[in-house]
Amino acid sequence: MVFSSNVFLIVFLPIFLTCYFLCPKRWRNLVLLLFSIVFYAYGSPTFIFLLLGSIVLNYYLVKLMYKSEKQIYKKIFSGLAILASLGLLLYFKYANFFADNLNALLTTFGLQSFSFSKVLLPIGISFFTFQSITYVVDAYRGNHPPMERLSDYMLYIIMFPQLIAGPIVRYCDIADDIRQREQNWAESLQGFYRFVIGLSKKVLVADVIGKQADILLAGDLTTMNTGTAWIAIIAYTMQLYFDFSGYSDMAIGLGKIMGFHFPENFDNPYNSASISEFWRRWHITLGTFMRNYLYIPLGGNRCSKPRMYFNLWVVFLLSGLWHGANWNFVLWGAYHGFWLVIERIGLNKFYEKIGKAPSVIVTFFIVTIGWALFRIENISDAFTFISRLFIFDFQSIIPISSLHFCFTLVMALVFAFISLSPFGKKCQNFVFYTRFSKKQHLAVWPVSIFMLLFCLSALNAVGFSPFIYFKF
Amino acid sequence: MKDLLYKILFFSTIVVLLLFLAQTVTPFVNFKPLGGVTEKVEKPKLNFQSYADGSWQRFSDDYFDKHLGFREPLIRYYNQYIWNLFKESNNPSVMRGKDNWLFEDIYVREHYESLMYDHTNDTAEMRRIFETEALRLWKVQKLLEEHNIYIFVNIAPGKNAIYPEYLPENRFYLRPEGLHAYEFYKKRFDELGVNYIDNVAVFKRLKNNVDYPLFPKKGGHWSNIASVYVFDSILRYMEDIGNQNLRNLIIGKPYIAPTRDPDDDLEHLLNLAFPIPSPPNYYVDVTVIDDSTATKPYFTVIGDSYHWNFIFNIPLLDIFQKVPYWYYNYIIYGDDENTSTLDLDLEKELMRTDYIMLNYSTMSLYRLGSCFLPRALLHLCYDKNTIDSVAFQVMESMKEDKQLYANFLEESKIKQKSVEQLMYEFAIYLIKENPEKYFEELNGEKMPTSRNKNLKKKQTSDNNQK
Repeated sequence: MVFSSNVFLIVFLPIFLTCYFLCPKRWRNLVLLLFSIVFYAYGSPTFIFLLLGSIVLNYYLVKLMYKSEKQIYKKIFSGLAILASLGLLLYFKYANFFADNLNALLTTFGLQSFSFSKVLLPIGISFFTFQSITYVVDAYRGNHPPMERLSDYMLYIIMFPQLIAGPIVRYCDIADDIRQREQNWAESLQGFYRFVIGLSKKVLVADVIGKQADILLAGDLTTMNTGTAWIAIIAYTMQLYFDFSGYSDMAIGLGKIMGFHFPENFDNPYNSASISEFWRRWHITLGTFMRNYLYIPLGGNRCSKPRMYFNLWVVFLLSGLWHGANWNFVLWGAYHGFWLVIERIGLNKFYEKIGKAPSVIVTFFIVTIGWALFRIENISDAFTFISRLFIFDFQSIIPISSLHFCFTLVMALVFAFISLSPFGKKCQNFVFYTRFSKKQHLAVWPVSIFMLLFCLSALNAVGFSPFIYFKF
Repeated sequence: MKDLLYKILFFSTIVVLLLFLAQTVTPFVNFKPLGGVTEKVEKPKLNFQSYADGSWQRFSDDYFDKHLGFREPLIRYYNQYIWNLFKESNNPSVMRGKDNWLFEDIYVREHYESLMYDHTNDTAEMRRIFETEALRLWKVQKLLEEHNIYIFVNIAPGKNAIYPEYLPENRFYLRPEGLHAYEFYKKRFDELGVNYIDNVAVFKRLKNNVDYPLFPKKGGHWSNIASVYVFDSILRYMEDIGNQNLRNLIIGKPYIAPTRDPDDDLEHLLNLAFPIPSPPNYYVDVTVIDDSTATKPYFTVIGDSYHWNFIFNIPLLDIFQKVPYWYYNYIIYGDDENTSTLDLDLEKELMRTDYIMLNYSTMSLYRLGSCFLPRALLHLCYDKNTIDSVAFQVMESMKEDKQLYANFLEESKIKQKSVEQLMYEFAIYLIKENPEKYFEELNGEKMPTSRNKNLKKKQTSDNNQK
């Protein structure tokens, strides 16, 4: 069940909110947990038991770890808990990838390949695995004591707003909210506004642009002209941002409605003046996780320069692999790792010389090219596509007739870069981070309701294309 | 109390969402149904299997989407927003041309030569297919004439061919080498002497000399008036090739009427909140002169949707004994309603009819005959026993293909039919699809010498009741 679906918006959400707010406060976590289980079980019925089983195992291992007085036992139990979580991720997400590659290797050397039944991927496994790890590590490091009740820990892992696509919420950031949180109605309303902003980003921008990007990228890449290739990749760049940040906005908004404070996941990433800055603004919670739970334990930057560059590469290779079990994601991670190392070697000085605006353009250019590797699974096709970006063939026609798409793409670009201007920054702060007064609520609420209806309208109209009669 | 306003606003939000749910469960407001045809979705049945494999969820989502409360206004107002603000249609199968003229997207693609016939971009292969069909048609025409049966092609013009000035801008890839089915067939029909009526040329001549549009602004097919005049020409043509006297039409004076199907069929597909302003559509009423000297033949029509205008506008059964309509040679309307042509005894059907019209527009002409021609050619030349003997040889070669045989074994369990039966059906299918592959003399430009001896030569008077 995705947030931008009729079933979620019209059935699940209103019924959940009614039950949640009609319940006494002490039962609300239980209501949220039950609805979260239903939410997951609806989309992934066979894996709910696996998820619940892994939660129970992790909970008791961490409990044993916390109670142990000897350091060695602490290490063993925390190690087992991390191993259990990572083991699931490795098996379900990467088994097919490794088996396929091993078979390809065996075949290359003239050996018999082995048969392997494909493993299905449980929804959200990349996110809940990382959250499980933060729970173990934060409890081990003493950042926050583990949950006393199993149900509270379950809620932390399985809470539906952030279960499927993040943000990755660190245990120490949310543990107190789970135990006790204040119901603030003004904040709930602002959560609703944030949800609607996210829904609008997804339905009115990302879906419109994405539809055309998909059509263009499904065309013959070997004959694609330069104009079409650039429009396709810029459209995909915008689709990805508005889709993912929209989903994060919806998750943050839903959390806010219930009094949770999820961390921000995006901060105008395309306004970054370097790749390092980009990674502080794009999928922030993943970057934070990678920094705290991988980069720093590897030695971070408190080591020799070659070692630091190596650490960066490892982090970004793994980060690429986390996004998907395919070589193009590994290559994409390596590509970003490469630019991060280059920046540290000397590119940053060049950025300082040319100033903010040109640096933003250069960074956007690098990121955009990178998305080609991310989007096109076949590496050879990806390089063919990238070569089409630079053949400078502007003669043939660009097959885009939709003014709606063009308008939406331009608006997406405007909003993606709006916070570069002081006025844009001010507007953004007002919309996202200001506590509204009563008068402001009275003005914003009807607009939000209108936008909600508009999104519902788009959601239903876009997929509806009847025929005059059935065709054969 | 300080939170009262916030509470009211917040719970009003929930109420808004619940209103949608209420309208879905028990509709309390009625709306004009949405136009166009979509697949019907049955309410899925919940059981452990359907839940565990996720099919129940998928179908439930689909069912819910199609039955969502307030769905009609939600869709109509969004479509109107796209139409007004961006000047485009939200239905990809309908394109907005200049001055709000509507076109089916495939006609626009065909016009700009970017329609990939049968989803292939292989021009040489399509040229070979067209050539094969043209030869088949010529042979079928000659063979049918031996039985006093007349076959002809009626080429309907696409709206794009007659009103190109209203087409939207070309935004499609151009194929390196264009191939128009219409131009190819017209040339080959002339060379081979195939019976056909070219309405494209007629419409182009008429366009600036008539007071009424030949195509409606908001419809995809020829207008009521145009279709009536075309049918009058068809009758004359049939009289000519069959050397028979058919009943004549009396065409009334044109009058204005509110738009009606199919003259604004494309507008229905747009599902806008407000109608598109357009000049009035003119209609004529048609009656048939009761002529006791005229014959009343059996008339089979195979083709695309352009025939619907004849069904709506002409009292066909006053002229013909029967007019079965084999829609793309797939589903039958008008006789043996809604049955599949695959269930027909083609030999019997061929001998029942007096005239066969292949009615295709310039856009769908690439599907000429829709597999009718190879099947007809086969049955006109060979009887069942001969075809069966070839089928048995094909079956023998199938048995040598282990993978194919394994597939038949699998299928026989599912369909609960014997492997032999399945193989026989498949062999017959292969022969009917491509008879030239199995009967050498059907190839090339020579008339085959074999004849199906089971087909008795029909006398003109057998069918033509007066």
